[in-house]
Amino acid sequence: MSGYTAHKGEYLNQAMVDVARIAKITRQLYERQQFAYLLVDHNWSVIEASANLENYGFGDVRVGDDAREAIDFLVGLDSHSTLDLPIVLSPSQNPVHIVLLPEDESLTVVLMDASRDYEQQQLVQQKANENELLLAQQRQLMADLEQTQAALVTKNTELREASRLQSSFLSGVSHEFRTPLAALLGYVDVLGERLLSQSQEESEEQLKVIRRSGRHLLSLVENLLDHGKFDAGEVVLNPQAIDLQGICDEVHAMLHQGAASKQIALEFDTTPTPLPSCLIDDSRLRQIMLNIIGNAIKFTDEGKVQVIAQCADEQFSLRIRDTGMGISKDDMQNVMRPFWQAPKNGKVGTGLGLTITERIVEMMGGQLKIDSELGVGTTVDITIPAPLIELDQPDINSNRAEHIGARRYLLAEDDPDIAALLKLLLVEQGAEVTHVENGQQAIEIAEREEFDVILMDLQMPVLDGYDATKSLRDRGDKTPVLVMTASAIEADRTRAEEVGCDGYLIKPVAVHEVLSLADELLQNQSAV
Amino acid sequence: MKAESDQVRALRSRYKESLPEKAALVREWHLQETSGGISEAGVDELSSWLHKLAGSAGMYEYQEISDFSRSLMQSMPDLSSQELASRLKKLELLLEGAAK
Repeated sequence: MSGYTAHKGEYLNQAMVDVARIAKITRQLYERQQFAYLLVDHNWSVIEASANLENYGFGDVRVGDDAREAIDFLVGLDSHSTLDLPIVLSPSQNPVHIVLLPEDESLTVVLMDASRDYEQQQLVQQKANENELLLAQQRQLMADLEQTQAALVTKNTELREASRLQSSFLSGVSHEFRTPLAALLGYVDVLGERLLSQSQEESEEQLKVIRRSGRHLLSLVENLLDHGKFDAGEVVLNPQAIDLQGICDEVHAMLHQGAASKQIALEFDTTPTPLPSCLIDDSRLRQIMLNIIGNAIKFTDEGKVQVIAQCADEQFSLRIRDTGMGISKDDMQNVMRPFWQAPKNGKVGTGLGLTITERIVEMMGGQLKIDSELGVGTTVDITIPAPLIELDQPDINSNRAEHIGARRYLLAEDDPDIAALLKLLLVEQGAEVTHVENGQQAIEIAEREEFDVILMDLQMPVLDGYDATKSLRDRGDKTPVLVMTASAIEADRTRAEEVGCDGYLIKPVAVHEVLSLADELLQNQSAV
Repeated sequence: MKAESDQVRALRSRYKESLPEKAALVREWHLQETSGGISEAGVDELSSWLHKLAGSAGMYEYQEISDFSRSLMQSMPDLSSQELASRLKKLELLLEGAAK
């Protein structure tokens, strides 16, 4: 019998004592080091629980309890296997490190504070999140950069194209100016040399060419100036009470001849007829209509141009439909670009008319749309806000007071500040005011249109108020001329009276003075 | 009409905004007059400009500027260079004062 066999029982007893001692020491160690523990049998029945278990939120665990009811993360675990759960959140949300140490008859559940590990894990997670965020931001920045680079490339292309168009425009416009100028000067020379020798018919034909060339040049210059004004932000709308029907009739009268000379019909339909009066910048509206309808006539060689004008719900809408050459889909993308002209269409121009028209319409708060089919024709739709006029109650409750305001005035004044204010003040009184900047323009417009009174500044460029008044009188125009001048010199008044001025006001003038004197002049005139 | 009254206010505001520019122009003439004298063409240009200023300033209710420029315009032929410079300076100050 070996020594071991002889002393087997003694050894086993000693080993059990040692294990129990170790377990006790370990438990004491756990308690000293603030670990918690739970001793259960393999059916999870609690044999012993450390007193500090409540620090981890498990204070209700008592001997004999089923440990799984109190500590739910034990559910489903094998009570015979070793297990290490580094971080588990207790019911009180404390991070706990749990180790299961099985023995023959029991299982020790060790709970350790895992706050530090948990914080570490949280920090790692936070870092990971931050890294992810940084990566996302970096990706966004890269995308933005790529987008900006793409935009820059596009802008650069556009700038190159704009530069090319401007160069092309400059070379084109030189030709545009040279051709009518050459015709104009050439025919003036011919007229000068042969005035007495050639027939009146020949002279009239040459005069027509001169007039046409001059008008074309004027239109080129006006378009260029307008385009420059828009770019410089100098265009100011000046809405006033206007007769829409009158404007439509006027535009029709101006363009009818041009259409007739191409043997195409120009039809105007207005709804309602007559169109009502409303508040719109009349000169800009006229410009819009002349540009679009003029274009329709220019690009139509057969068929007709139809204009449908409607005013409803304080909106003025225009539809201009032609049976002209139309615009291809590719060219439609370019028609609004400044200086662009359809290649090889055989028509002349600056390529600015449509651009300017669109800018005016937008400035008025309206819209312009173009629909076109190559070889079939083009339709342009324009809508512009058109507030109907609502006059205040008149200060003086008499028909005469209303009548005084409702007159048509021609205002010849070169100072834009004075002209803008005086025109506005008169319009507020219900007057219709046409403004020109010099005496020459006053004469030209007075030949075409009728006015009740002409308000004439004396000092103006091109032709001053004295010469303009004298010229009007020489032509038999008897419209009363009311001078407005900053000069208080008596000699100026005398000279004005000598050339045919009827009234004399020294600036600053009040609008009621203008209305009152104008009324007096008209009464005197009708009494004669 | 109310909208048009707003427009009148806008015009007055625009005119007021133009006063510093007008003052700068007068300063330029003053400089010319004190450094050799305004040229003959310049005198005509100044006279014409004063004429316009007399009209527009009055219309926009700057009566003192209007009266002063009208008076300066009429008396210009009789003024010595020193007097003209002095009056231009005063006009400049009037315009600057009104612009504030």
